[in-house]
Amino acid sequence: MRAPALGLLLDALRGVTWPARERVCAGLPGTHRANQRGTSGEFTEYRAYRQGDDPRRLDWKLLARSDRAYLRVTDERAWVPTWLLVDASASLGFPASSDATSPPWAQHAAPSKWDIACALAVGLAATAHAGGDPVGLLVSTRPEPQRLPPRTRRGTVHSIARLLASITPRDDAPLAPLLSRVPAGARIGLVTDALGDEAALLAAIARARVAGSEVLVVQVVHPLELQPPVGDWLMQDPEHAPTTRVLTRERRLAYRTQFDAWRADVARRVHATGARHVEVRCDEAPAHAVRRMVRGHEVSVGTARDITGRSA
Amino acid sequence: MTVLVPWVLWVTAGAMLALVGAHLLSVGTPPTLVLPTTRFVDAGDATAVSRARRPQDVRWLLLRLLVLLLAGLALCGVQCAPQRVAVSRVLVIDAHARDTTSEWRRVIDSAFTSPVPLTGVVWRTGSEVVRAEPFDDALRDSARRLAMRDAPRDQELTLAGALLRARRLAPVAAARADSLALHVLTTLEDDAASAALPVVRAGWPGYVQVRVVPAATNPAALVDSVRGAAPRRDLQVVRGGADDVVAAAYGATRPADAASPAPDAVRIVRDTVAAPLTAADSSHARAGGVLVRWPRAAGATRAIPEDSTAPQAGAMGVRTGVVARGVALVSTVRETRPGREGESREGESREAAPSVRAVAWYLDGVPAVTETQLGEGCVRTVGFAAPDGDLLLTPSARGVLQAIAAPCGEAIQPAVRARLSQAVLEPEIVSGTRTALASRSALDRESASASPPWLTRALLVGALLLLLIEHWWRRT
Repeated sequence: MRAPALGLLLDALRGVTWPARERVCAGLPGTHRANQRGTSGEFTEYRAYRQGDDPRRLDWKLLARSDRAYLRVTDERAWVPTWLLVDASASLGFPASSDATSPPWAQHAAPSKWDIACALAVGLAATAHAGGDPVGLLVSTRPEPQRLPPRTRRGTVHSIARLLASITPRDDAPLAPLLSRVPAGARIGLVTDALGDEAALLAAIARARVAGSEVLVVQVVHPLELQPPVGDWLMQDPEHAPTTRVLTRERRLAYRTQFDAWRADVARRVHATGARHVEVRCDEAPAHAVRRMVRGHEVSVGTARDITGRSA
Repeated sequence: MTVLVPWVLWVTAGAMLALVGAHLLSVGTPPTLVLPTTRFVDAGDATAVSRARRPQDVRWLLLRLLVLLLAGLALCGVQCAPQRVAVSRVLVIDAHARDTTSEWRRVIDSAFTSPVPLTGVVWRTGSEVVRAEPFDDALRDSARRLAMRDAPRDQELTLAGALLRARRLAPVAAARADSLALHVLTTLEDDAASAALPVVRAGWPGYVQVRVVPAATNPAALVDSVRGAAPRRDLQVVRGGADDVVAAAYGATRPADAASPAPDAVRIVRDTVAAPLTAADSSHARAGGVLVRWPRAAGATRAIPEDSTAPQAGAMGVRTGVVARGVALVSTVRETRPGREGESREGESREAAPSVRAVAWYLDGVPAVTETQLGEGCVRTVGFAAPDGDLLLTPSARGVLQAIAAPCGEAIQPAVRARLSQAVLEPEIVSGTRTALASRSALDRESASASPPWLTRALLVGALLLLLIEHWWRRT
């Protein structure tokens, strides 16, 4: 990602944070509400004492005044490690280039899916880093995926941008195995087009969700995929060269119908796992897309547990 | 060049247009587009049809167009014959017509300036038959001069003969036209013309128009020598009666005198076609005379015995004319006996004997008058009844009368034969081996022979060769 574009993106996202949508696991103090209730100074509620509770958490003054035993319950704030998983398969490289030798339809087309994916990853990293969360990066490349461990220090976002800028999308490296490398309870941002191994990816997302991770699936769609160039084309899959189809005027409507149905099915199945699904078109401003993704409310699902492990 | 099945040409033209349209559609592999969502395109044929503004594969297009053209020409029955026209005309002009009359000029001008092709012009005054098409100015002037020329006294071709020549032109003209119009410009002063016109009109395959114009000269001056000739003293007509038309035609006013016949005299016996020859008649023929048996129409029927096997008068067909010595007697004559039969006596062969020869013919070439040698002389048998009225007194009957009364064994001179073949009859017709009038089958043969028989096969073979060349070319 080029420096001017990076600067503009970071300026546009200044002050924007990425709050967790669920209670996070207990950890170092942070900005996200943790799923544990402890002894911090932020009072939440009283709870009647039950046998087995720690007597040190009794509100003695209340006991002295009212002769009733209550515990003082407080919320914990913790950080959440954020992992950004970026799909760098060949399908993200569409369109290939926009130079003068490209056909007219490519010269005036929207930025490539890879450019938008990089911008979205950097934007999400910036918003997560702005909340004090450590941000890491995993890019599906061959033979080994590119990895940046989660860090909170300054320059993390730029490191992520540099690493992404050094990568050219190619091959068909799967994204699903990268999810197994992410620790449980982390927040995962998946930037992909889901055109490779969506079945394995959905299964991995489901496993991550079960492990307590918050998963955001960002599906990048190029306008040319929605509306291919006018004319008859011999379509070739960049990840599976033998797969060639002829797109004619008569088949264009069927293609669009099937593509829309597939995207809706992917979104439905992602939602079914409890993860979020956001579709971003390449003609949308990355900063706007990032704001749309991180906007929302905290904790809408899940239950809080106190430090004793009991449900509230 | 013309075609027998024109709609095949239209079909060929449509096929060629469709072929050009097909070459505007480019069937092939379209340009490649790398698209990650390829799998959402329905699988199918790896080729697509696209439209182009200019024909694709021009050389293949030209080759295939040539194949279609050759096949179309072969199947449509292309003919190299001149193109047929809807109507053609034949103009017959009587030399007696006054060339200063407006009608004469109007007919002449319209004949040469009308867009309707003029197949031929038959002049009564001469044997010129103009078949050039179109007529240029030189031919037109020549035709004018011919038309204005007075007919010579010794001209044998009468207007009836001119009508016959026009009738002879009909098959030739019909080969190039669908309909044939006959325009006759006449004075109708000629009795033969009056008799010939209905006959020709009945058999003419098209429109017939007769324009009567004033005569330029006195028709009486053109009366031939037959009517004004002196009576022949060496000719006798026996058993003909006082009002016999044959006797009147020959001017034989002297009554038959069997006692003192001249050795080479002509003895015309009327009403004896089936009766045996009398001794006087036989002796006349054996002595070197000419014995002519010419039945009289009405009396012959009554005179023929019932047990006779000879054909009776009226039992045969009706003929439209008799030709002899190049002069046609155009009239409806009733045949009294088969023309090809020499003698109809019982027991004789119906085939003509070697000594039997034809003297006159019907218009279709069938002998009308035959001559059989008998002793030093001969017996001539006339196969048709003498027409009633004064037809035998007209100039048209001169040839027939002279042929009947000619000395025995008089052969047709070579010069006469050549002139006859050029004017009216061809040698085959004169000899009786071919009919004078062309039949429809003859016309068909003439039309079919206009195109070489190998043309259709050559066109088909050419188209096939081009297809093979295309196949070989595409493989290489």
